Amino acid sequence: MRAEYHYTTNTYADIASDIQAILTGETDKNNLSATCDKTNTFIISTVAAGWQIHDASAGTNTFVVKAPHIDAPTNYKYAIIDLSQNPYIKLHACESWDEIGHTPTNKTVNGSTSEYQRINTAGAGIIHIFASERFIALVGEYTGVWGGTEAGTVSLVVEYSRGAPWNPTTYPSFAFIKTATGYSGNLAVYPIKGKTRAGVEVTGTNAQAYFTTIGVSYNNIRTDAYFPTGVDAAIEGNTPYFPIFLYRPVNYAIPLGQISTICDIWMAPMGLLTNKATDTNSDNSNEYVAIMTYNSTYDGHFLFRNG
Amino acid sequence: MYAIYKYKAGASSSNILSDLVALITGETVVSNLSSDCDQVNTSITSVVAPTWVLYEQISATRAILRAPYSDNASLYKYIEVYASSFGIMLFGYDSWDIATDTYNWKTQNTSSSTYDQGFDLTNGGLFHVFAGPNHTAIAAEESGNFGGNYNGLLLASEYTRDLSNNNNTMQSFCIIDTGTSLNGGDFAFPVVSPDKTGNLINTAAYVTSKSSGFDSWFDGNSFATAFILNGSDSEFELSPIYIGNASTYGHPIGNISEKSDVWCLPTNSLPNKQYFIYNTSNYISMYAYKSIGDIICFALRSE
Repeated sequence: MRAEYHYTTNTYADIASDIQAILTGETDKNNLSATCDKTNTFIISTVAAGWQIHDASAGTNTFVVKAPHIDAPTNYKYAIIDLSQNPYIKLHACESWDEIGHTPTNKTVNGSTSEYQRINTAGAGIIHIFASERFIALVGEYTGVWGGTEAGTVSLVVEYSRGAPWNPTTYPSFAFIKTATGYSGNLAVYPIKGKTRAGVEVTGTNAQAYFTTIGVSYNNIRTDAYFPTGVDAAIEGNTPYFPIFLYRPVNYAIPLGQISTICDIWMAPMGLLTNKATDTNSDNSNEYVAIMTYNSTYDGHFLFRNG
Repeated sequence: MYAIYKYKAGASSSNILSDLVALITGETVVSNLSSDCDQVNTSITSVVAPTWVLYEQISATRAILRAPYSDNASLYKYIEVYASSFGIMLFGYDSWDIATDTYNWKTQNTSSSTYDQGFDLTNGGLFHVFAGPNHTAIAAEESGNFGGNYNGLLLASEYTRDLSNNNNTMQSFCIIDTGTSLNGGDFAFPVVSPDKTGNLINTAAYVTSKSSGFDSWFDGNSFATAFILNGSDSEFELSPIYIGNASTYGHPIGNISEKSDVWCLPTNSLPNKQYFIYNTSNYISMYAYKSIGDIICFALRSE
């Protein structure tokens, strides 16, 4: 599902309510709140949004949605969408959520204002929403602003394949990612929990990891010798789609898993595509949209299904 | 197929070449090898059957072999097994004209001794020889030496067609000098491949893996440096081997492991020539790179 949600004012309660509706399957923009600019808003739901409400009263303008893992219908992933700290949208993953006490278990510890998606306090703006049963991605946009203050970072919660032997179907395989942090070679991935190569379970900052792709180390995404960069990076006019791996060998030895096959999210070469441009994947003929995930000298983009 | 092929002191390079060609093309009986083979100490395990056939014996020291592609039975990959003055070498070709001994494309590794697996004809020695439908690999052991550059081996392998402009009417085969490659050099030699503009080229590529760049094998933040302890068991992943050259080809060219069943072990994990079972198949670790304090072994089927 892809939604370009336009709001007219920073009425946070309405915006939270509308995001909740879109993530839980609303496909008719006319059913959204009065704060929604219905002329410019669109929702494309070729792939279902895929989430169900778990706690609509998780906090001030905060709600929790859930969706099962791809290989475990009763093992849910939980995502927290939090608009309590104006003017931000905060996204977190957690292992479980007590809807009576409104408290999480093993909530990811991402928490920098530089990663939060921003809402315009002075007028209209846009929230780009991508989702399937496997992931949620949020980007805030308004005049002169894209994503978080850290190089236009995008907020994601993603399910990843179970690459480690300690990750059975009863275990959470779900992480938060702040994209810009990863391009600059830092620990951008916040798995809910994992086990080190010594078998010790870790959570919070101890569970953090990197993201990258084939043949590219965590600190080389911006280097052309490792990862293609520039407007000439297409292959005979076609955009190459790179799978995204989550890993941190010093902790986990082997990659935790990859998100591309499960979530249908891919990395494009640096500086090749234009933000929000559509692109047809030459391998499967599906249409994707390039979303800027790193705004620097060379722009990084992730590719999401255009709907 | 995995053979530990031992040759005698005073063996001729032509007999060694003849025996290696026989092994790669499916010989399973040690007594059928030449008189220079130390048959008592030679073994052949042939659970995995090679599909290579001798296409032309050019001379006593040059033989052309070919095998069909895994995704196109009428398209062939060609290798030359060559006995130089120093040792055994492998070259890849896109085609071979028996009448004229010519080709269109050849891998860029030269006949320089830089790329050989050496032999010791005076004192005798041995070769570890591996072959399957889509690959062959050779590692030398003689005079106290193991392998070639950085103690690595020579691997000739088909690879998956990961470039969107590489289809099953095109070549998808390379020769890898593993030692120099894992030292960070571009020593994976495609026979021929389209570059990102569609031109056919044979520019050398780098060897990488998931999440590891070509020169970051020993950075613990990039590549596995140890096993995982899962309960009381040690577990590890056989990491897939890719070749690529980002600025030239625009995307990793292909995955070697899916075609050859040759994989990369965590750095400094298993020692050389360690037999082990992985997912019910038998493998042996073999030096792909060794330098002071640092070892990377590849895992190859030992059967």
